Amino acid sequence: MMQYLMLTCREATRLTEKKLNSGSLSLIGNLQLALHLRMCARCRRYAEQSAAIETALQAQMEAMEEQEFNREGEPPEIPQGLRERLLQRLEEK
Amino acid sequence: MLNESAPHAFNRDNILKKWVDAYAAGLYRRALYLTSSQETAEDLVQETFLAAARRFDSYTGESAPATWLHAILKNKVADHFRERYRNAPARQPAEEVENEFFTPEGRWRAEAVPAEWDNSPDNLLDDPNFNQMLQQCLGHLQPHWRDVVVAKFLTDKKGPDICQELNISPTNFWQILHRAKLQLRLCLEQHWFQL
Repeated sequence: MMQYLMLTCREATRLTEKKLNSGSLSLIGNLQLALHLRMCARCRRYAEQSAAIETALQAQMEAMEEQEFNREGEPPEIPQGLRERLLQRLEEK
Repeated sequence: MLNESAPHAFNRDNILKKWVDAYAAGLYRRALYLTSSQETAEDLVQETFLAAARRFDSYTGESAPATWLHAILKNKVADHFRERYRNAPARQPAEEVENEFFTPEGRWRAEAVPAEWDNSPDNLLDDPNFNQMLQQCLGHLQPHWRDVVVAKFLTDKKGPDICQELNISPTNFWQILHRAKLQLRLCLEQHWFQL
């Protein structure tokens, strides 16, 4: 029974990602992961950092949208000529 | 704002020109973030404006122009991912990548054990260097993997539905995501935390 519940670190990190990205695990998966994380500081650290990365990605995505509304200072960089190419494409259409 | 009332077709071109000035840079930045390719990003911004021109009459002004344009862009990026996978289905990622992190018994390899990060993860977001490095590390991932990491920000969909969008099996999806995150985390640790 215990053996069935024991995950390797490889499996535990995989379940960590699954949990972070789908929001849910099976009952048994949750139990397995909780048990492993309780015993394994390395995977706990991994789980914390991985969650922080997700939060940062999410925040960056939101910040990009918000900047459109609260733009301060320099406008963001745009490749040379892109504005002109866009206007030309719009003319041609 | 431009969206006080439903814009009329006759001033469409003028409005579109203003939108190019106001929003092209922001759209480009976001496209670049999502695709890590300048060329692709520019194409997607062009397609976004062309689609905006075609669908202009359906823009009611209920949402801000930036919101409307960003929604179109997200669809374009999702289309781009789909297209890419149709033409080149996601490869089964190399088993070796995982083996760089774990022993055959599934334990962390000594050199791959996650190190403690100096900053508490809560403070990361306030650090512009971290944000920049995150973007760079995303760019270092192979394209298929990066797509899997960012795809969920394109829709409100959760993991399993994204598999369909990207035309890959759920098993493959979780494998790619797992490996991509292992590499992303390591990249951040190596390049940012040890500056």
